[in-house]
Amino acid sequence: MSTPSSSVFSYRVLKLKSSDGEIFEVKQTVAVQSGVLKQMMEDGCTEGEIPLNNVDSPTLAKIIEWCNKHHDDDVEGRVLSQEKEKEKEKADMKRWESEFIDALNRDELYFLLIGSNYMNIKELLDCAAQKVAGMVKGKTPEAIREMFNIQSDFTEEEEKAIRKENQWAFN
Amino acid sequence: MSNWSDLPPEILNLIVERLYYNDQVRVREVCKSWRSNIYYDGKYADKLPWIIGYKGNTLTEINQFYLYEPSQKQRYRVKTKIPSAYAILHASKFGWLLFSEIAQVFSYSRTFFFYCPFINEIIRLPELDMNHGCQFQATFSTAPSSSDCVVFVFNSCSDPSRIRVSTCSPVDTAWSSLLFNGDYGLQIKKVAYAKGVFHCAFFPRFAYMGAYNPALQEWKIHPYPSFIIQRLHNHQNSDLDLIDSPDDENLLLSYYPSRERNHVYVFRFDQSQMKWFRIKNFMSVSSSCNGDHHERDEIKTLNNRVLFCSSVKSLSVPAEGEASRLANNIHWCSSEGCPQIYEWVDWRSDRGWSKDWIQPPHAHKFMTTGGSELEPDSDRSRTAVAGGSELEPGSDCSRTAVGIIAFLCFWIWVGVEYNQL
Repeated sequence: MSTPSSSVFSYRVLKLKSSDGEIFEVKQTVAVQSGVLKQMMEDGCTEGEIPLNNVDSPTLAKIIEWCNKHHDDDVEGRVLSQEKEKEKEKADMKRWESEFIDALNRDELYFLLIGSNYMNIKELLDCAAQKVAGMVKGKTPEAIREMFNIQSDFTEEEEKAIRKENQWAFN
Repeated sequence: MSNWSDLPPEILNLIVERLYYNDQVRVREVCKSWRSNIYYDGKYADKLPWIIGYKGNTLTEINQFYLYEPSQKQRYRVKTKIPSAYAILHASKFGWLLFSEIAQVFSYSRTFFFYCPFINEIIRLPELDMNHGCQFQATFSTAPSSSDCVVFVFNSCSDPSRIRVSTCSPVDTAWSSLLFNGDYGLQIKKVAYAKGVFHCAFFPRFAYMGAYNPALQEWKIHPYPSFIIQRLHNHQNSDLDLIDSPDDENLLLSYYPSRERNHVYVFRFDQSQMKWFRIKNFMSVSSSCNGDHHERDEIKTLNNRVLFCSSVKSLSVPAEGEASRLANNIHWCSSEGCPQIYEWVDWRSDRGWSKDWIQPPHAHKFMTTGGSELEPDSDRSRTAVAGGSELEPGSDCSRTAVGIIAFLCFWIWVGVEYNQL
């Protein structure tokens, strides 16, 4: 267990306010994964509610779920003496991450990208970007448009010109 | 609702740099905002080099290129027509191929040009006078689309006691050439670039490596590692190779005691100390080569690199991603391709084609300016049309002049008529 003095610090909470007005309470030790919140804590301006105008409540809930999972608050309590155990932890975490990301629909994934970028949570942003890259891989522009519901705004002529530029890639 | 076409550029590029080059090309065609927001700054998931295959049907034209993409195991065809009389490939770096061809019939001068099969773009350089029967090798420093690119040509002279080095940048209108004294036996083997200096390997009887610094216009020679010098008498059977390492700018030298390349010795040249180090982990473990412990060359290791070599251009790349399984290995590409690691290609069907390593383009300075406005599309004929339309104002002028003269004539005629009245 943690000592009393450190528990005062670790259980101090931040109040995060989503764009739709919902308040989420997050432990400081968890919130530190966000570059933006970490900076605010260092500057000592985390009193009261912290408005996150770019993040709605479902997205913020997801982000906090990620951060809670990636936060080792009892790391001092456990002694990971064995390399094997560490490897297993790593593999378990990887599996959890991919399940977490795979469960998201296109909208959720989009807002998670925007939210994690806004809050500067690098690991989550990287994980989400990797997911999108995997979705795009090997697909034609038409298939990518369909997947993300994007309308082509090229004229026929422009499209032809682009294809000519890298004609080989569209064989 | 999500609006994927409005994805902020920093997020979009985080996604794109995780893609292979061929996927990046397709992603740029999704919508205008993606196209203009993708930086195309040379970050891609490709860690293995591609292979280029090319063939000319006649002696005056290279008209077919194949690109072999190792990550997704695909072969792409590039339709192009490069008019070229006896074109020779000299270097392949940053996605660009450096060729030279005879400038005119019955002349010894040559025209050098860059070709990038990925974007089907040609950059021509001025003609360079060459000596009759001279040996030459050429390479370049950085991508020809960047402002600091220098093309380097080493050629031997008709006077065997002198050599000539020529340099040119893609924006220059002429080559600058310098003569230096020294008899290097007309045997230029390979040229490579590292840290501002072009290095020249001569073989087999010369014991020194040449180095030309274009900024200082300075030619120097450095002795080969003592290991190689001791074996120069056996040069008939041995082979050596200079290797570019664009990402860490190391200069590597590999030495093969026999033509079969069963054994190899790799050395790294430290430019600050002017000293060779033997790289232990690339050394072959063969009983015939074990009595070398008295060597004077210091031994070091160079971890996690892969060497992709060919008679034209050899390069050292980091053993990351898919290349990690090839760490500390040397792979050769010949006209037979590279069946050891690109086993999915039916190399027999492309027999007779020239083949070499190629990496996807590094930075697309040409493309990003053009790409974002959907303009140039590498269409030379369009440029020609634009050039033609520049003549228009001139013809407008002449039309105006004709109009003014006609106008004056009319009034003179009116005046004459009036006077007659």
